[in-house]
Amino acid sequence: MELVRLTDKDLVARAARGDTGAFNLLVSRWEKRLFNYAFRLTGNREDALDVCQDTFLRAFQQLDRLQDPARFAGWLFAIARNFCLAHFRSRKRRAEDGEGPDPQGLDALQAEGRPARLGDLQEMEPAELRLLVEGALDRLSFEQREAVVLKVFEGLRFDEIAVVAGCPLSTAKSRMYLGLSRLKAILNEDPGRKS
Amino acid sequence: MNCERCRELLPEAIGDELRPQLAGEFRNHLADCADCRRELELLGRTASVLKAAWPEEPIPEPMTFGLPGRAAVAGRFGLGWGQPPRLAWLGLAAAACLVVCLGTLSVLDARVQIGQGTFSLSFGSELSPPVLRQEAPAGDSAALVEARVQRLVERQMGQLEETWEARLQQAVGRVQSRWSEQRTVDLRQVNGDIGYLLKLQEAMRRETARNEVLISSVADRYLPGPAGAVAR
Repeated sequence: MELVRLTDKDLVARAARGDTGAFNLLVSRWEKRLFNYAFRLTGNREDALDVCQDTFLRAFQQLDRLQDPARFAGWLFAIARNFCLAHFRSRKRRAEDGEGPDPQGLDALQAEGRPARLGDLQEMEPAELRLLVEGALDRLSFEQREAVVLKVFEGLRFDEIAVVAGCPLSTAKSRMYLGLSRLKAILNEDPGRKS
Repeated sequence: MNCERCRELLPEAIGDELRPQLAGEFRNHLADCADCRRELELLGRTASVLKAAWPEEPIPEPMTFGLPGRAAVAGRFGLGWGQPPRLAWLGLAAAACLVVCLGTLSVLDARVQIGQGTFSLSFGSELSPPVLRQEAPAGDSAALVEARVQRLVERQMGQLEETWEARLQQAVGRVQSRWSEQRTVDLRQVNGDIGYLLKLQEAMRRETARNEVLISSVADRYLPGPAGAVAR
């Protein structure tokens, strides 16, 4: 049977037996989603590329430890999540040490002259809107940002988010709700007024 | 349903995961409560803004993974037994030398003898003198017998030499073939790595160009006048 017709579960079983063609196909199926997940979580393209590379390498090395091949996607995202968390903490440390961009300066730049309400955001240039959203996401905790990214951008169910984040279902829901509420407040707040 | 319970269900409503048995009650509450209705609308709009602002991007080309095998993967990523090409070449050269030496000794049928403080190394199989069953004619001279023996020995030595030459050629051919094969593999890997670096360089160049455009547009909007010109 052609590999492309196989499900992820079958491909994982083959890859665990050393079939690198099957693993290549898994990579090609998931690399784009994984890259975008890591990009939105780390906020940095190079970090996201690193995370992708590290994740697939780790997955390849530990494929035989995956007990349920049907849960490959969640397992892959969970691996990526740990790498993203490491990048997130590293960036936070650098920011605390005074390296990297000044968040307050960026906030001030974004606040000056931008539309005040969510409804007005559609009038913004795509690049401006992107800057604004990235700045808003940067003000969330890692856990809230992760829940928002997995739900809003990746469209995962809450039970899947709980598996990736390694938390109870109710926690996944509350993280996503709190994160989205905070984003709503940030994007809807008056320019110049910080929450 | 009260507002508190409604807020608890908002995440599920936003994620389209509201359980059917609660959906009716939830909708009824929204119909009666403007605050909850507005909260749901704003959260939904926030999610829409997020998705519109940060659409999915294609993965950069250099990230395509080539995995010819677990060992090759380990080598590509700098882990496991995969070594830098220079070290690999040194190891290969040492192995090739060893193979050639052993092959040569084997072909020459080397024998080592150690005993009573003596050490001797000899080559070639022991040649037993041909047994001459016929008795030498009475009138034959010893020189004639010696000449016959000499011819037999030379014939035997010639055959052995041809055999050694053929075996040596085969051994050298095998070593050269493996050497060439490994060299091709290494060159392909080096070529792949160079290609990867070139693509990475191109991606960085594009990223830099995008950043410059972005900075320029931000400066145009937020830093009008001389300050903007300086930022640009």
